[in-house]
Amino acid sequence: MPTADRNAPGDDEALKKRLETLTKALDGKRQETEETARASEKSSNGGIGKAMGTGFRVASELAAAILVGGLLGWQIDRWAGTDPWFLLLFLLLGIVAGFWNVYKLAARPTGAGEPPQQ
Amino acid sequence: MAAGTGPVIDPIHQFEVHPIVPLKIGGLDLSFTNSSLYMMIVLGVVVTIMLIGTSGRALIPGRLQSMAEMLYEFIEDTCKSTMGSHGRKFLPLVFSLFMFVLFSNLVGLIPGTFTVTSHIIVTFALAAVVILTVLIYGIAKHGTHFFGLFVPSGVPKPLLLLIVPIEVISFISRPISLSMRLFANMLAGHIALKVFAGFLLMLGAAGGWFALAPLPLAMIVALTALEFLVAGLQAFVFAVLTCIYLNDALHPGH
Repeated sequence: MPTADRNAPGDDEALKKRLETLTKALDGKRQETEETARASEKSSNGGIGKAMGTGFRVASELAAAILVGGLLGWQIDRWAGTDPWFLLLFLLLGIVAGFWNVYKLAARPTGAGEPPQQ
Repeated sequence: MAAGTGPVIDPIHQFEVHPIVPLKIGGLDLSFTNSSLYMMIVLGVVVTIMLIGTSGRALIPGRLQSMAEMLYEFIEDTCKSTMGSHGRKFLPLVFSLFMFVLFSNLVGLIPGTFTVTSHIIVTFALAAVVILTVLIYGIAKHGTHFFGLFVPSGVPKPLLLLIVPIEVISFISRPISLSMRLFANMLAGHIALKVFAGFLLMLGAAGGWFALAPLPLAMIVALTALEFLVAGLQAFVFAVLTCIYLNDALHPGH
């Protein structure tokens, strides 16, 4: 660094100018690196990890809804003694709920901000 | 494991819970088990990483500090993108859940350890915490308006008769699917590892066939790598879904 310049006249002005150009250069660099980082994140992370996560979610949501529907119906039948009507009804509802869950999952990608306002 | 003539292969043995310090109060079995021990270990690992990682506060972070900061920022990002700025108050809950699940999964991958998250009662307890938070916070904050969650707007009245039960079932299925997914993934992964390890043992004991033993060994190596991916992924999915469900408590009636 040119230390001799320190006491030169107009030093403040020069320094300010220099600071400004440096800030601009830094901002440009930062944006660039951020963009590349984001791009690489999308290409590497967004691949198999996200896909597997979504796959596991679809499978378990479908299975869980059917299970819950069946269990609810079975329990209501046991209480009311109406074997097997509620089981059938709730199993059907559970299957619909399972597919409805999967549909919602597919229609709105995982973690994409707030759900659309209606 | 070896008993009698050949090696006895029992892939389920690793999931056995046995008491270390037996303790019975009333009719309740409150023994300190190997499961409790590993929960303590997981807790210790998480607390150690976060405490040491955040104690330095260096401008240029070391390994531990960047790890702690990256984990935190990752979850904060997820929280913000799913719940918006209102979601900040749930960040501690989501972060704790994520760290516990992540490190349970990772500690469980060390051979000879016990995987806490491979028991459905553990994962169900975690999911129950999430869903109870959603219910209590949602009802406290929005009152009966919270139940608008089950009544989508713009649906004709007769159809509601069908839609509401479906939405209720779909809501009840949330903690089930949340806990089942984590538990099933960990259980299946560990059983697969043990089964392939069993093949290795059997081939090794089968005279000339031991030439084939490298095949299951290669499979174990590949499966272990996959298990690391699954361990991180399941913790992440758990955190994301927690955020999505909590978002329903914050903004019901969509």
